[in-house]
Amino acid sequence: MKFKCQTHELLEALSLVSGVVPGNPTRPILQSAKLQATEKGLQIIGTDLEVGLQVQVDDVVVSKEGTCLVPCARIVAVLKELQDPEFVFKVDAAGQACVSAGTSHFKLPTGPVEEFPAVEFSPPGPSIRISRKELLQTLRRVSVAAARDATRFNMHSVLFDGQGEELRIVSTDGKRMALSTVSVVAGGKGGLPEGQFILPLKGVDLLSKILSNETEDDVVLHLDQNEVTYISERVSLACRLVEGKFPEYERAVPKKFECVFVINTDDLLVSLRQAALMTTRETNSVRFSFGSNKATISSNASNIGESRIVFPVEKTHGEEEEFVVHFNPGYLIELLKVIGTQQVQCGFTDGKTAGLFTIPDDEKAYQHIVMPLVVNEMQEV
Amino acid sequence: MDRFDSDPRLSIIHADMDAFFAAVEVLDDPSLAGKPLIIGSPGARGVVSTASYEARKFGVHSAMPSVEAMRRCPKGIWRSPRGERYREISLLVMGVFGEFTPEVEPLSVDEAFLDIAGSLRLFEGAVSLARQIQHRVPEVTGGLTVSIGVAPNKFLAKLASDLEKPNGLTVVDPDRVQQLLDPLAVEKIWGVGPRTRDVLHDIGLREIRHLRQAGVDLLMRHLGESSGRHLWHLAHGEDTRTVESHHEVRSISTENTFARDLTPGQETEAFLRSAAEEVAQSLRDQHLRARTVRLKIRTGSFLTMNRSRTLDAPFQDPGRLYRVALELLAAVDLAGEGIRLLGLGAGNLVASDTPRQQGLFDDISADLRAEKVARLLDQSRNTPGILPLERGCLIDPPQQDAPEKDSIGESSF
Repeated sequence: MKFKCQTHELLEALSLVSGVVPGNPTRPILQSAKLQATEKGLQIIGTDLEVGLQVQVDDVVVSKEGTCLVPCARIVAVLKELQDPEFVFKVDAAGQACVSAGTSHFKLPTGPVEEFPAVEFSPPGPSIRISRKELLQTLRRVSVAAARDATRFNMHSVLFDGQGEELRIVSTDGKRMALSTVSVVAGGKGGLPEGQFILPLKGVDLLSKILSNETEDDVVLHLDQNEVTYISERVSLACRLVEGKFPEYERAVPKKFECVFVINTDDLLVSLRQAALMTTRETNSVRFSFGSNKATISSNASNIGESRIVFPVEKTHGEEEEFVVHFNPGYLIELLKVIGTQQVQCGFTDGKTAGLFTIPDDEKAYQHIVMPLVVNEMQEV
Repeated sequence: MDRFDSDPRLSIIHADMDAFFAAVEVLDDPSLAGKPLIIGSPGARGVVSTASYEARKFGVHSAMPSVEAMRRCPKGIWRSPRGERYREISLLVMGVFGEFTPEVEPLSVDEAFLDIAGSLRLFEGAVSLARQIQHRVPEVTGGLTVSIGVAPNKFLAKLASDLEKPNGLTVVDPDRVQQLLDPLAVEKIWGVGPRTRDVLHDIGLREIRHLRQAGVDLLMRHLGESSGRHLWHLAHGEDTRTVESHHEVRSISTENTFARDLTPGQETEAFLRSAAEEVAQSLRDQHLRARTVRLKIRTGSFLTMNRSRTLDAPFQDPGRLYRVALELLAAVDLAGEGIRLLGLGAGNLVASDTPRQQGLFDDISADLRAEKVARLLDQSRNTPGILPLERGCLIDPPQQDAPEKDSIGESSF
C-alpha cells in the first residue's frame, strides 16, 4: 500500500475520525484508524462499536492499493508536526507504516486488519430531510441541556421524536430541558420516522462537527430502530441509538404562567455573568426579583462577597408587583449563549416550579425549561 | 537567642512529633526503648508506617515496602499500628498546643502549625514559647518529644522543624533566610515530591538557590503558572498562607471491625443500615447535607478499598445513604475474601439551608416524607418522658418460639 497526500487534508480527516476513536477502549484495536487506499481515493475509518465513521480523502495519489491499521492518536500527532505540505505513506515489506515528508521519516507499527470490527452504513428505511443550518442550530441549542454524566446514559443524549412532519428534538439532565420543534420532509422512499429515537451525545456532537464542515443546503438523516445514519460525499456516520427510556418530557413543559417578561438577551447574559462571580460551587444560586420594568439579580457567598445587578425588562403578562425566584446562573448562561436571538421571553408560575425561557413570537423553535432552587428547607407533606 | 525573643516576625511554629507511632509504642511498652522498632505489617504486601530512630539507622523509613525493611533491618521489632491509641495521644498533644494559642492547624495526628503572633508577649517571645511546648508535651504525654521550627511563615517553619530531629528546636533568622535556603536540595521544599523534583532536576535545578536564580518565567514554563510562581516565592522564603485553625466539618463517618470476616448479606446490610442512620443523624444534628457517599471495605487480608459516589443533589436521608452504600458494596470485587471492616461516610457537606436545585421529573414527596420521619425520630429522642422511637429495620426481631402447628397458616376464617 502506498499513496501521496496533502498533509492538512489527511490531518483534517484523521482528526474527525479521532473524535470517534476511544481513548481507553476495552479492545486495544479500537485505538486504530483503518486506512483504505483504492482507486476511489483514500478512506479513513474509525469506530468505538457505538459510532462508526468513514471519511473520504479525494486529493490523493494512490500508487499501490491496500488497507492497513494505524495507531490513530499517534499518527495525528506526527502529521501535526510535519512541516511539508505533502507526504508519502506506505506499508513496507516488514508491515510497518512509513511516513516520509521532506527530510523527516517515521515508521509506526500496524495492526491486524482482519480483526478490526466491520463498520457498515446502511441507509434504507425512514429518513428526514432538513436544512443543514437549521439542524445545526437546533442541535446546538438543545444539546446544552443534556446530562454531562455519561453513566446517566438515557439523558446523556438527544431525543428525536418524530410526529409526522414535525420533529421534536429534546435534551434534559433532569434539572433543565431544551425542546425544539422543526418541520421535516421525508428524505427518501422509506417515509418519515415515527416515534422516539435516542441519540447518544457523543454521536450528536460528532454530527454537529461534521455538519458545520459540509456545504449542502439540505441534509438527510436516516433513522431506524437501532441506528441513525448520515451519508454525504465526504463523510459516512452511523451511530447506534441509546436503548432506554427517555423521561416523559411533555409533562415537564409548563403551560400556564403567572407572569411573563421579555428581556434583551445580552443584558440578561451580562447580568448573570456578573452575579455568578459572587457564587461558589456549593451555593450556586442567584436571586431574581422582577418588577414591571426592571429586574434585580443578587447573589452572595460567604468569604467571596455579594453582588446586585439591575437590568431592564418588559412585563408582558402578570398582576403581581414583585416576582422572586432563584436559579443556578450556569444553566441560564448556557442557554443564553446558544439561543441566538436578540430577546428572550421568560415565563414563571411560582418560585418552586419550572421557568420557561423561549424566543418571543417563535416559541416552537426553542423552549428551554429550567427548575429553580428552593431556599426553605422544611416543608410539610 | 535573646535577640529573637523580641522579634515579632517569628510568628509561626511547626511542631512535629518525633517518630510518633513508634514513640507511643515505646511509651506503652518501655522494654522496646532503644530498639529498632518498626510500625507496620511485616507481610508481603505491608508497608512501613513509622520507624524508630534506631531502625532508621538501618535505612528503614516510612512508606517503604515491609519486605525491603526486613531485608535492611532483619532484627527489627514489628508492631501493628494502633490508630485509636495514636489519636488518643494526639488529642493530648493538640491540647498542649492549644495552651499556647487558639490558632492551631493540625496537619495530621502528629504535626500542627501554630500561629503565635498573639501569644508572643504572654510567653516572652517565640523561642521561650517553643521551649515551653517542648517541656509540656513530654509532661502531658509521659515522655514523647516534639521537634519545633520557629519561623516567619509556614513554609520556613515546616522546613525548620525537620532540620534538628529528634527533640530539636530550630529558629529561622528572618534576616538570614536566603543563606539558610540556598544550599538546601529542592526536595526539602514542602510540596516538592518526586515528580516535581524530577522535573526540576531535568532542567538542572538541584538546590534552592538554583530555583531563585532560574527566574520565575522558567519555573512557570515547566511547572505551570501557579505552581511555578508559588515555588519561586518559596525559594525566596516567601509564603503568605495563613494558619487555618477553625476546622470545618469535612466529612462524617463511622466504621466497624467485625468479630469475624463477613460475606455480603444480612449482617453487612444490618451494619450499613445502622451506620446510615448514625451518619444521617450527625448530619441533621449539625444542620448539614452531604453530596458524597463513601464506603470503606477492608478484607480479611487487610486489603483496604475505598469507594465513593457523588450524587446530584445534597441529601440527608439515611435511606438514600443506605441504598447507595449497598450499590457500592455490590460493585466491589472481593475476590472471594471476607469483609473484616466496613465504614460508611458522608462527604461534600453543605449547610442544610443552602438553596436546593429542584428536579424536573423528581417526585419530591418521598423525600419530604423521609425528612418528616427523621424529624419525628429526633423529636422523640430529644423530648424527656417519651420513649425514643427507633426505625423498625434497626430492631432485631424478638426470638420467637417455634410456632404451634395450627397457629399460623391454617387458620380458617
